[in-house]
Amino acid sequence: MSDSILRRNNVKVFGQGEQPLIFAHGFGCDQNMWRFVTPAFENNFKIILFDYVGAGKSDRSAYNKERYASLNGYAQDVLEICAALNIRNSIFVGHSVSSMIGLLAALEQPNHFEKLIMVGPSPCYINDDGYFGGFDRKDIEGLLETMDKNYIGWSNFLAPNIMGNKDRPELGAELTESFCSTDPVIARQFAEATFFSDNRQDLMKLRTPSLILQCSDDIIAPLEVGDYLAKNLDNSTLRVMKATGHCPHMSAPAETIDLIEEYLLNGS
Amino acid sequence: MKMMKSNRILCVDDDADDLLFLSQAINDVSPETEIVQALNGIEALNYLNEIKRDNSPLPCLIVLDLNMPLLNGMDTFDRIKADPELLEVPVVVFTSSRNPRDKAHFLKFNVQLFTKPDNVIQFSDIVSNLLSYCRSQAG
Amino acid sequence: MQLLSFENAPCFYFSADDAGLLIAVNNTTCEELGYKNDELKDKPLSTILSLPSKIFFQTHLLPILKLHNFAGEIFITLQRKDHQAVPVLINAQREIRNDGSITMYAGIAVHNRKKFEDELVNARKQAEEMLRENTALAQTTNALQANLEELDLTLSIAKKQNDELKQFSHVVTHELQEPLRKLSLYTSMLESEGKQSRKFDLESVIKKLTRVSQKFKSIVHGLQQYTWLSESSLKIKKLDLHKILSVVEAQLREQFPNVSFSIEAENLPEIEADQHQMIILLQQLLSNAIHFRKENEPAIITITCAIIQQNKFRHIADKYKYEDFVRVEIVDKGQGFEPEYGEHVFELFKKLHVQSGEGIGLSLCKKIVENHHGQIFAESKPMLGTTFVLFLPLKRHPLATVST
Repeated sequence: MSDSILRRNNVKVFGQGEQPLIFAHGFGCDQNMWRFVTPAFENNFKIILFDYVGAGKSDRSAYNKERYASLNGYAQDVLEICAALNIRNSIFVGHSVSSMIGLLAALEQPNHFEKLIMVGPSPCYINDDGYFGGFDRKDIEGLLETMDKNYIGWSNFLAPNIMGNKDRPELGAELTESFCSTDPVIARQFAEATFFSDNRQDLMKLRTPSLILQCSDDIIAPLEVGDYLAKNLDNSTLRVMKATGHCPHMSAPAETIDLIEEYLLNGS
Repeated sequence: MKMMKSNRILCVDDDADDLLFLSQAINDVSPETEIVQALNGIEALNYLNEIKRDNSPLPCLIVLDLNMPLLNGMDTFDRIKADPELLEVPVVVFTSSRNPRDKAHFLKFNVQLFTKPDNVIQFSDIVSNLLSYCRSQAG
Repeated sequence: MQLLSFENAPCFYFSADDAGLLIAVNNTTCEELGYKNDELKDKPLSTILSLPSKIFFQTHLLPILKLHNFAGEIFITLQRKDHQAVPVLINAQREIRNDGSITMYAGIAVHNRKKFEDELVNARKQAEEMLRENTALAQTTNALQANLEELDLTLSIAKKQNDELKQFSHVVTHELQEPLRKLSLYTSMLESEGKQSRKFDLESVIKKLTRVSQKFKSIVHGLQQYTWLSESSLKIKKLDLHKILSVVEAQLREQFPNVSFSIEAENLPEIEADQHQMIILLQQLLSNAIHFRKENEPAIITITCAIIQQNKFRHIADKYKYEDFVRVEIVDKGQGFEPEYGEHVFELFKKLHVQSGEGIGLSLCKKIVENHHGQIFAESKPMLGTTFVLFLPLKRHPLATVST
């Protein structure tokens, strides 16, 4: 059973250390996003990378519309991987919506996690009374339209006989090489599950210590959100980065690595 | 080093009633046989280790129950077998289990299994059987 | 031949650096977006992206460019100075140079194409909508969903009853045999009076016979308690777990009058459950913790709760409905037990310690938790204490008040 989970989520385990260090991609692409960060931790940790069902090279046939309409469905992926690998006391690094997915997983099975590291997190993206999330509903609808219209690497999802893989082996190579494929249907659902989620009520339940890495000038997780999280997460540390944009682990990997290392060294 | 065998039987059972019946039945037939009681596997192994340390003579027979807390009969038997100094002490299993698989398991090691009886006459019969182990060691 | 000028080419053409600042923007771009020639130089690229496209750019496009240095046929919406949207299809190429890298973007407006695609997307959405709105279909789907939920419930009940039957058989064939044998032994003693050489003490035999019949009684009583939990239907109402805990604590003070113990609880929620069974559940778990405390130490028990969401479907694969459950954690620092007994500890009459009680308490707990369609787990290490984790649904459904 655990082997099938590891295959389903394209789980990769490597590194010389003992303590598990799990990297979870968020909205946007797949485990390759961590490529510039993981080498710094390989010697001292057991690194675990994976793709959520529907992303990257996960098993698309396992995609279940009901399950993945909710962030709980993604949290269940994380818990199933932790059970399959017998994980205890890991450090969980979640980008974007994976911060909240990690939080939900930690609420259900705290034994798996020693610390949560949140990169560009947000508990709620849509503005509310007295709460600034960054977006209005119509902005999110515009995003969904963009997801509908983009077919990056979509040829991967055509039936094999349409692709004619056997006669066109170079297309097969394309299949395995593609990064950041978006199946329009699945990607759109992930966008919906992410941007319509509201986990503000769950923040105060978390007992696991956490690090919040807040980018300066991130339209998706603005500074106000970082402050909100720091106020409502018990035992949390907020670090505002020099990096801008939403993916510091791609655009500013050195600063990201430094901040994570500093947090892990100093306890919490 | 071959240790002297005494006229002493080690009874391992968590059930006080069965221990009493057994001891009384043994003494009825052979009053000079000494009986040492242990309530579970851990106590039994502790006693045996003490004997070895003091260089006292080993018991001529170990009567082992199967269902005991802390360390059950099967696990206790495994540990006794694993100890070269205890290998020569005969072991007999005395259990309420009627499971034929248990009997077959111990037969493989040449260990007899007796089912605990439900009347006193049968107790006496079993005891005669047990005492033959000790008599064959004498001398 | 004249060199082709890209400034007035019939396409958008602009470049930006890795920090996201525009380096060069061709005339066409400026005109189409309503800017004067110099207005856009050194401004962030996000200035000319619509808000949704800003998100897509950060989460998808930038990473692709960073890893592959190329992205093709990407649909985004540019933003004019007057905030009107311009749909474009772009290709982007990133070049790494000595003094940093530069990404070139080339694209064409796809107003008409967009209209065509909008039609396609709308047509697909309409078809999906029609399917959804088809009332007959909708009703069938609802009925199916309700049936599936009921089926899952029935499967839970069936499995539970099967487990209980197995345990019952085990008790009848094994647990009851021992007292029976003792009864027989002692009565054979009485019978053999005179036939044997030894005299026995009548009084002590009678005492033992009494003890054996007490043992019988307690096994049967334990089985009865177990059965009662199945027979009575649940009386579900909203319960304040803090009040339940107070009742239980008072019971425990009576049960253990000279024992020092303390129970700390936080965040106990309101839950829909059967009051009588919840009292038994907490009473059993806590008295267990007190009973198996370390010698010469007071029993210190902590109870924490959190509300989480779990899939309510337990048996039917591929069905998901996340509902609120309360996760209750009960921790004691008592004697503990070997970790491999974690599952067996809930079996009827299972005894792990020398000074065990009847061995029925925890199996009652499991039954009660399962009556409420929850789950219970135990984790322990010898001398390090025990942790019980329970998952109980916060709300009960009309279907679920069936007698189990």
